[in-house]
Amino acid sequence: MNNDEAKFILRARRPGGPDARDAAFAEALAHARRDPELATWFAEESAIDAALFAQLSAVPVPSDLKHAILIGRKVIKPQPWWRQSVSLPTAVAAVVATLLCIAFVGLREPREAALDFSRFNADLTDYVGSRYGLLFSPKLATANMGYLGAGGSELHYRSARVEDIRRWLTENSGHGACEFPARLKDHPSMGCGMLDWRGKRVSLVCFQVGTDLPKDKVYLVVIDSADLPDPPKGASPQFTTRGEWTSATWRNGDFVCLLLGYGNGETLARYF
Amino acid sequence: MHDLEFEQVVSAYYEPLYRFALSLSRSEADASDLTQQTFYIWASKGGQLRDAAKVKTWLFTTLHREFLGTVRRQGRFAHHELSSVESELPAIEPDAVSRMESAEIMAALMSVEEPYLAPLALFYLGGHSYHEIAKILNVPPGTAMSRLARGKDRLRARLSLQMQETEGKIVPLPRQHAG
Repeated sequence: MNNDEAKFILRARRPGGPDARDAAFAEALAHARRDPELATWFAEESAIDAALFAQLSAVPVPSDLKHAILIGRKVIKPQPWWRQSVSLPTAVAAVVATLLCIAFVGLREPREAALDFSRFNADLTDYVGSRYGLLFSPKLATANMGYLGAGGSELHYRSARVEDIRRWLTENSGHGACEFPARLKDHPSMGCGMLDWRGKRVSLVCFQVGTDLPKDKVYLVVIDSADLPDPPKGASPQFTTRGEWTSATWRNGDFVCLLLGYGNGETLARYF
Repeated sequence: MHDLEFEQVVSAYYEPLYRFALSLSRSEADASDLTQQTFYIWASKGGQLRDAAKVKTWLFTTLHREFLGTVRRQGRFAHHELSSVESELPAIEPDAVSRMESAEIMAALMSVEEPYLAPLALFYLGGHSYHEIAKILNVPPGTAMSRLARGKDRLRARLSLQMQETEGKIVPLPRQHAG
């Protein structure tokens, strides 16, 4: 190796980091140790690089850039699950699990089970209770509006403003026109999503009603009354308890609404 | 991905990513857009990355791809070749570099033409090794090494030219004699 070859190699070397263990530089460095002229050149080269690193790391970054990135992320629409790529083992496991579920459901439940209001109420209570009611990481249970619990990824849009939630639902074939319970509007929304309940469109809106998450969350679920054979007719809420969860159900024009929360009927009554 | 995790990644990398984007786009507004876009892609797809050690390379690769995509779609960020005067310029010294303004050095870096600009920016602004640069730019390691060496020659030539121009604008004050 001559000096020109050594210089060519050493110009690509960064002090420290992975280059310190890179065999490509070992021979050139050994050559520099033997040759005083090359050693002088390399010392000068390293000093210029160090000065350039220091100067360039002082190039100013817009002061609001970080804030803009963090805020902007809250309003982007996450990719729907069916458009996210998954690894092959995950896909195979999902297919197997789906087939097992189909077989299990097929054996346990008659196909002609009525898709009536009581079924809708029970399904949605179980779904919300199991998918959204469990805490993923206790460390994240703070008053942070961005915290969404285990089912956070199921919410397709996130905003603390009810107006934003309504607009998003309207723009995404949801139930943005449905009137929300009067006292629920005092609480910040955490986000919303669209669900598919046995082929019917359902809107789900999550509200944070306190700081003891995930218990202090309630969920408003809305479905078109035409999608149920026996929709409730009354505008006053009727309370049903299922396990540790309670649902309040009522009719709002062309919509059927469910308010779901952890606890008994008194917990939900305060929002009407 | 949780907000906390996202914020940690943003805090760790938004500054070098912005500077890299600035070197490529030569516009503060475009650099901000590219940086934000990169993090939004990270928010939607980055969770699939299993190895946390690869986050930095992933972000720089994504930003570079986004930049190239924008160039293809809009024909923007056209780089203008500068006249090559490297061989006639005096060598620069570390002290001279330290005395310059950061903005001047950034301007000199941004004036380096492709294909030398991206490797240089990744080296100086992103803190990447030539192996990482090769991965990000999808070129063989030997090519990354070669572009770094030639890019450094060009950068120093521009710094030297810039220094000469600056010195030419400075008119010494007349000396005042005592008594």
